[in-house]
Amino acid sequence: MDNTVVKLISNAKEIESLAIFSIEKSTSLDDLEQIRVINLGKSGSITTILKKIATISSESKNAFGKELNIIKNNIKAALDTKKIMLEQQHEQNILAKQTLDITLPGVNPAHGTYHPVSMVIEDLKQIFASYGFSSVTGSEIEDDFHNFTALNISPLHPARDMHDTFYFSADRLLRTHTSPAQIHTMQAEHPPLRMISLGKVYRCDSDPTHSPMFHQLEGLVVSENANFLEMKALLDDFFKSFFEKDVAIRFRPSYFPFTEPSAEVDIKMPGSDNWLEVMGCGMVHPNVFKHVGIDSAKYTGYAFGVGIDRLAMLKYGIDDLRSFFENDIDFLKQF
Amino acid sequence: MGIKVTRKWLDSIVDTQLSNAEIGRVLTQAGLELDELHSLDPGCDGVVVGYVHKAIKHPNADKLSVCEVEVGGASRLNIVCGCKTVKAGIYVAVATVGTLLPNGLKIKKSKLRGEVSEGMLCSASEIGLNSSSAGIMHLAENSKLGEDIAKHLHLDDTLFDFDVTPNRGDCLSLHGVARELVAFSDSRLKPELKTESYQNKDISCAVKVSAPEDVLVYSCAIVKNIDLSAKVDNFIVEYLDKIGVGSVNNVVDIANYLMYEQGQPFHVFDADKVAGDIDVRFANDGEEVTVITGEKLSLDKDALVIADSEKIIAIAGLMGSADSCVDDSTKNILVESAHFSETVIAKSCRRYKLNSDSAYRFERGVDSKRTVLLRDRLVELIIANLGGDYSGGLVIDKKDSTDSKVLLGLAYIKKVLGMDVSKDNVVNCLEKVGAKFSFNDDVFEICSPSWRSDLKLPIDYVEEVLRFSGYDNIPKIELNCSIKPLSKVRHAENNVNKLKNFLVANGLHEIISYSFISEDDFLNFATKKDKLVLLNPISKNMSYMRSTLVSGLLNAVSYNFKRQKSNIKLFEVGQVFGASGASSTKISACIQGKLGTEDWQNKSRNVSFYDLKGLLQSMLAILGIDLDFVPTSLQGFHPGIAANIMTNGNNIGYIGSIHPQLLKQKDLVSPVFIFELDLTELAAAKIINFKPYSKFPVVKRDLSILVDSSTEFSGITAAVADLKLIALRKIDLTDIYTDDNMEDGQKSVTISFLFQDIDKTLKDEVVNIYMDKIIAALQKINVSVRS
Repeated sequence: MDNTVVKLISNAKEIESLAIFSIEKSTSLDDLEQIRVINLGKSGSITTILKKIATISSESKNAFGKELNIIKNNIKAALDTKKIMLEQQHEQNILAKQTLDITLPGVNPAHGTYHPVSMVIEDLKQIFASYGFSSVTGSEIEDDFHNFTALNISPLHPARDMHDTFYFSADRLLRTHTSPAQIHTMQAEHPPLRMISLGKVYRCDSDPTHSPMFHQLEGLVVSENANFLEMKALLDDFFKSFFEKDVAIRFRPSYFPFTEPSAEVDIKMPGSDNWLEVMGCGMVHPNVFKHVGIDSAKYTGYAFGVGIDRLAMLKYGIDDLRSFFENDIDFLKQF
Repeated sequence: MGIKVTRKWLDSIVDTQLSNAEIGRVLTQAGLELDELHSLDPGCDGVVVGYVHKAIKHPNADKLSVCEVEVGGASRLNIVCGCKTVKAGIYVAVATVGTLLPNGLKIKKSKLRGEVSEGMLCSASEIGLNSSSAGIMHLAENSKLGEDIAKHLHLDDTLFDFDVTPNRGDCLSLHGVARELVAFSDSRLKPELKTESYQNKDISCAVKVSAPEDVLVYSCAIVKNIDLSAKVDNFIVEYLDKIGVGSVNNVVDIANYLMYEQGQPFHVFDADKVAGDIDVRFANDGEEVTVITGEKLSLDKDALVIADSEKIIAIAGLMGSADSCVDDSTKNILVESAHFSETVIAKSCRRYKLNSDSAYRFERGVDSKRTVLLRDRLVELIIANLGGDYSGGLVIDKKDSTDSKVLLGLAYIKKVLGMDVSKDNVVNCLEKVGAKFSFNDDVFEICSPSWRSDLKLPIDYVEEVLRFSGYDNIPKIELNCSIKPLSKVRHAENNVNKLKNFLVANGLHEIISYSFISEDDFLNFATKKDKLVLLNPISKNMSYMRSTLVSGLLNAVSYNFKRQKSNIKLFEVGQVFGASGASSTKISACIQGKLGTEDWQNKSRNVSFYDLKGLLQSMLAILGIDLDFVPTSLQGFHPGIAANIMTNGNNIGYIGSIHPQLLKQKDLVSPVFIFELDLTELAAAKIINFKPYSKFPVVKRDLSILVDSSTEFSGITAAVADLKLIALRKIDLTDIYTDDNMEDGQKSVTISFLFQDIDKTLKDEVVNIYMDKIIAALQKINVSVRS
């Protein structure tokens, strides 16, 4: 290798170390670009030296080319590394400027609500579906037979006094309970049956604590071995499921024309001393089975009824039944 | 109604160690629910019985007297009194120094116009009694001086008010409550009073029963020469007062007292107002009677009556006539004690909308074995109190009532209750019920007691067995999980829930409104021929059954708007009703005000018809249902903004903007958009059928056209659809506007077309051909293309 070549290489090495030094010192992408142009651009210092390869003797050409390429690549590598670093830094600077005041209010999409009675109805359907009960709503307009007579409430029965009935005509009325839907089911289907009927019921009660329209759930089980103990076990489990609390229940003798024996069910919340009357229940009266053609020697049944609005009041702590039907948005929004 | 008794009254016929609270608890657990328990003591400790020795005029005040009063102690009290009736020699109620009266007055030793007063003589109202008399109380002579006034007046007593279920007519008396208490506790009934037995003796008139089916026993008696002004025993007056029964006259009060004590209803006629013979018969159609309430009734042939030779003197078991009742001049009376059938009484009550304590008991069952005994007791009580003589009486007793037997097997008890009950427990129960029975081959043959008309079937005795075992003692079993599920899949309900979930997620609140509405509200959306009206509405405003949910939603919007709420978005699911009584379930939703929430990031705009239309389309897209909208006119809606909602050619509902006049009527200022859909149709929506979809790129082309402003968008899309371009996936409206450069009556519409082939990438040339076809089709319907 002749001296000229050695000198050219050492010049190039000098340029390399200068370039790398200034790359490291550079603080912007613009500076970096300038350094690239000065060294590796078309008329850059390394490019200029490389161009001299044409003047070099053939035996030194290889070595010269190799050395200069190493130098060129070193500078390139240094440029790339620094470029990535600077780009990252730049990005970080931009992000730093984009910091939001996360304490500003969120923008809420308007959301609606379910009526509390609807929510309770859904709960009830789910709980009873888990016990294998089907559910029906039934028509709110009924005839005398399905609302009364088939339920062992003959036209002159004193229990008709307990049902303040809205009439359209002598034989057409607004149902006073959801039991008529059970009569329809018993007429149409054969035991075993396990069903709930639920929905709106009506009584012309003018008492301010009563509403002329409210919601009821009634359950019915008919099978060859339905019995009082099973009913109590079911209801005990039901109240615990519904309130998601260890609710205590108590049975008291009562009277409903369509059940015998009949009972009132009182419940007591854990930690409370008050028994609350919430439900009526009993074994289906043989006369009811007679009306729908079910053999009461073979089948027994039990039935229970509960006010859905009352359950909603207890569950959500609502104190005025009438607020359910005023539809004030401030009330509705809470559910 | 129920039955009220007091503790002292109960103690008069029953020996019990139970406290008041225990009595309430025992009877409640037996099925006689205690509704109320309260003390009758007026709460005036310190008021005692006193005797006025002297009463002289106050030296310095005309209207006052200065009295010297003895209250049992050695010294006499000096008391100034302002009542005119005060005088020496009377017994009075004295509030001694230190007494706090129920009205808050504290009695102190004081000087009144210079005279010392060491107490106060009290009126009935001052010691908390319900009385309108302002003057001081005058107590009975020889009252015990110094005795506590509450004790003296027998007000140291407690009132029980029990609810009685309709099957337990036997509990509608003091005697019935006592019998139930004895059956459920260690208490004992005291021996019953011995009653004189009045033998049948000719009376001046003949008595016959022409309706034997409904009259088990008819007995009557005549008592002559009673003294209506005689004083009646204190306990009768006191107990009637305590249980809140108003006084009528001495005879009626005594008869009422005995009914409340024993459960047997009576009727007392003025014997001199009864003409000729008595017949217990059905009324003739149209026969008239004026009852004691003054109401004139025209009866029909279902009404059982008591009649004399000329007229009806009572509707049997329910109410007497005005012209046969006892009055101040009555001397001779005809006493009736009978047993009428439950149904005949119930018919009269329902038919004539009348009620009485007597009918209330007959309807619920009265003991037919005590009818005559209690007639005798009534006669005895009347004579003891009012004098007079028994001058004749008779009894007509059907006697053919063979007691029916009930068969109760131990196996049946087990089947119904789900637990074994021993023979001994059943025996114990039957004894306590008071039934006669025998036992053979695990079956009881039972003869029900005459007072328990509710015990007719084996199941009735299963309840008695359970009652005596104690509802509290029912063992708790694990819920049997071997029962096989019977619930059905609830696709329809799930579909409804999907719609509700969508509406809630989009900011709508669910409401529940009354099914009955006012006539005005009804006629806003329907005509009279569609009406279904309640015969007995709770108020005039709640008499029409709703034919649509829209009226309830509109009222709810109005209600909230008047309470400064805005952007009201509501929905309801419920039944609506037709004139025939048929019902169907609907879902209805409405929006009003601004679209979204207005906040620091967004300016909100007013809702439009298209917001609700879009909401509806998206909601039904969940169920895979496509909709068509056909302009229509709807009662109550804006004439230009209403449409029927169609799917597959079926009308499933409607959508529109409430008529501006109706908005005004409801005090609303901005439009309310509402839709209503039939849920019966929707709930049955089919399961969605999957269609293959393309994975190749989408090509989008925009087209601006100029059309007549009356041109409907559906006409444009229909013209394009007619081309049946398979690769045309979607047509979107991107803009619609008018400006000054256009001719009058024109609008510019920008539409974007999305093309996508199912199995290849579309080439530009192909799409160009499609677009040319579209443009040609549009030109045919007089649409000019702008770009």
